[in-house]
Amino acid sequence: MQTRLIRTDSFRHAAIYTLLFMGSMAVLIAIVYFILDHSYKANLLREVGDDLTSIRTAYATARHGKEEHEAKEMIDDRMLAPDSNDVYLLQRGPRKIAGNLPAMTPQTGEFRLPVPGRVQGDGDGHVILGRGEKLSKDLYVFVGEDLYAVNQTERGVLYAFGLVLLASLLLAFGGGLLLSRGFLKRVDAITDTCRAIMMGRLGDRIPISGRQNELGRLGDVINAMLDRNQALMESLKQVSTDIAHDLRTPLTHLRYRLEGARNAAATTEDYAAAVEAAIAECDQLLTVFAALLRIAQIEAGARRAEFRDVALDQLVERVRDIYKPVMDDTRHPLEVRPGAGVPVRGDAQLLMQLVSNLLENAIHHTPEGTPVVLESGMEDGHAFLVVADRGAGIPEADRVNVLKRFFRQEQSRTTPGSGLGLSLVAAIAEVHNAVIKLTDNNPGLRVLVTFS
Amino acid sequence: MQILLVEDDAQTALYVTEGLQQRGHVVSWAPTGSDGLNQARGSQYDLLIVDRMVPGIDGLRLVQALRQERRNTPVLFLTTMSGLDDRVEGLNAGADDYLTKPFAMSELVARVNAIARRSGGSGGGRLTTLRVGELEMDLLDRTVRRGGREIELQPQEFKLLECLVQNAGQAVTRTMLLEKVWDLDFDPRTNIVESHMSRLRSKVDRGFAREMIQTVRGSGYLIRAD
Repeated sequence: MQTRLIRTDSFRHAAIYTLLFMGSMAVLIAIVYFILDHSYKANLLREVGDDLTSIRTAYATARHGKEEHEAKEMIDDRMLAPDSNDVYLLQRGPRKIAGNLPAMTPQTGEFRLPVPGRVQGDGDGHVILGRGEKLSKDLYVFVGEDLYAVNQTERGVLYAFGLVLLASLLLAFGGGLLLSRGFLKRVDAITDTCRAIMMGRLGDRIPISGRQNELGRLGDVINAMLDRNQALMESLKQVSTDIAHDLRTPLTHLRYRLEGARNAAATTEDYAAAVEAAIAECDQLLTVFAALLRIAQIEAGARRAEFRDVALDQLVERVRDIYKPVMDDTRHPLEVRPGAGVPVRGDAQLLMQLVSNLLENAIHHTPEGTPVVLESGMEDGHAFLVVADRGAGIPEADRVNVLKRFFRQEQSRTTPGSGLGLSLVAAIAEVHNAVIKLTDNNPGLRVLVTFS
Repeated sequence: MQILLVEDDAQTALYVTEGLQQRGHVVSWAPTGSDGLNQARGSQYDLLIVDRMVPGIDGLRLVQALRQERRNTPVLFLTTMSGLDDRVEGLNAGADDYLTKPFAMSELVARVNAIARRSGGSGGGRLTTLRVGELEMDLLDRTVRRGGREIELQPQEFKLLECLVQNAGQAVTRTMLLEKVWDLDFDPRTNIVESHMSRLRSKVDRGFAREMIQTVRGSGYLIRAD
């Protein structure tokens, strides 16, 4: 588990960001430390310089013979200031006159020296920085300051920075772990679901987080894909069952007929009639197969890539030219209202079949003499097609079912047809992203196909 | 006609061979695509009948290969591949016609005859006038005359008659008419062809002693001169 947590991308990202942050912090600290140190020491040396100037001035302006005394007074005064880290020394030759340092070998200019009485370089920060000067040939003065306080402050600053760095490192590590744990948990949810589906639990879905982040969206898309796949699988299962059930009947009929011919036919004419009828039944079966195949292919959406603009008004007029004679023969007055020219993206052949099937349904299921209306147009920005008849209509309860495969209303069981006409229409509409609505035409059936 | 049949299913091959031989054609059979290609290259045929799914080279590639070699022998695909785009794919590969299995022998024969007529007939360019006996069609003016009398036809009736006249003396099936006249790739469940045909007939044959357009039972329609 631990290594899995650390191996996640989110943890790796957190680690990289932490390193970058640490790097920039270190640079910042170095700069701050350098500036602080530099300005403190510059300040110190300026004060030392000021003191030396004062002592030198006191020495130079004193009455004759009082020079040394004035300088000593000045240093003694300075040393009275409380909490001072300042150190002073005034010596003539090797003899100390004033100050709080022991006499030493005179050395001029800026230099450091250890605090007397301490072992040099023990690292506790007690180092004196100062400046020595000769007031006369053998009169030497040194002014300096113990750097201990400065070093302490600087150490404190470094220490604080270190703490901040450590805290942010811990925070980043913890945050990275938390992040990667959350991430892992959700990825695990996805992999668990996928495994469950592979094991056959097709209904499983990825738990929805509700958050619109990348994993949430991925989950939504995967779920939608799973829904679609499941629907397809179920429809496939349904088709196989339907085929088994619905083709068994005509096959049984065919068998009866052939058996009857074998047992009872006496003349060549009898045999000829039986063969003729058997061929007709076979053709009917083949028609059903062809329709099923076609529905399957349409549902697979293979033709979508070939979609072109199809003008519905021209389509409707073409349908009229083809069907007018048939409808005259069956005495179904056809009224065509091709509305404004509306192009839809689609497959002309399939749309042709959609309209043809709807029209043929109207012809087959309505009594002679009743009119049929075929209309196309545009409403609310959507192209539509309407086929409306004045027949018996479809009871409201059956209106959803008629679009399903092999569903046939009881009263239409006796009329010829595969029972697939409307499901073919439904499949064609689906592939065109069109919606089919069956409504009451008072009386009759009104089929409205609205394109999106 | 010399016909080469490329078909891996022996039973179908037998059915096709017998059917065509009865109508006076000579049929050679190649059971694989590579056999078919070799035979088609080796000798001169008037027509190839090709199954799309045959072992070796598949039918589509076979036809493409022949067309690339500039062999223009007419090809008819005879196949179970009845998908939405299969037909277009087959015709684009260079085939002259596409018939899906299962099929009626009369349908195959009608299509074989139609192809034979197209490739063997006039040859030089498209005719602008078609003539069958006393019937004359002017394809430019879109006019039809029978025995000097002009016959008024609707555009769809004209196309229907044109299709019959181009195959004069031979049966044209219902499916062929649906494909050629109305460009429908599905079988309508109503008597579209019959209704249009009866209108055409009443115009072409009304008032004449002899009916030129005849129904061929179990097959289709034909127009005849004599």
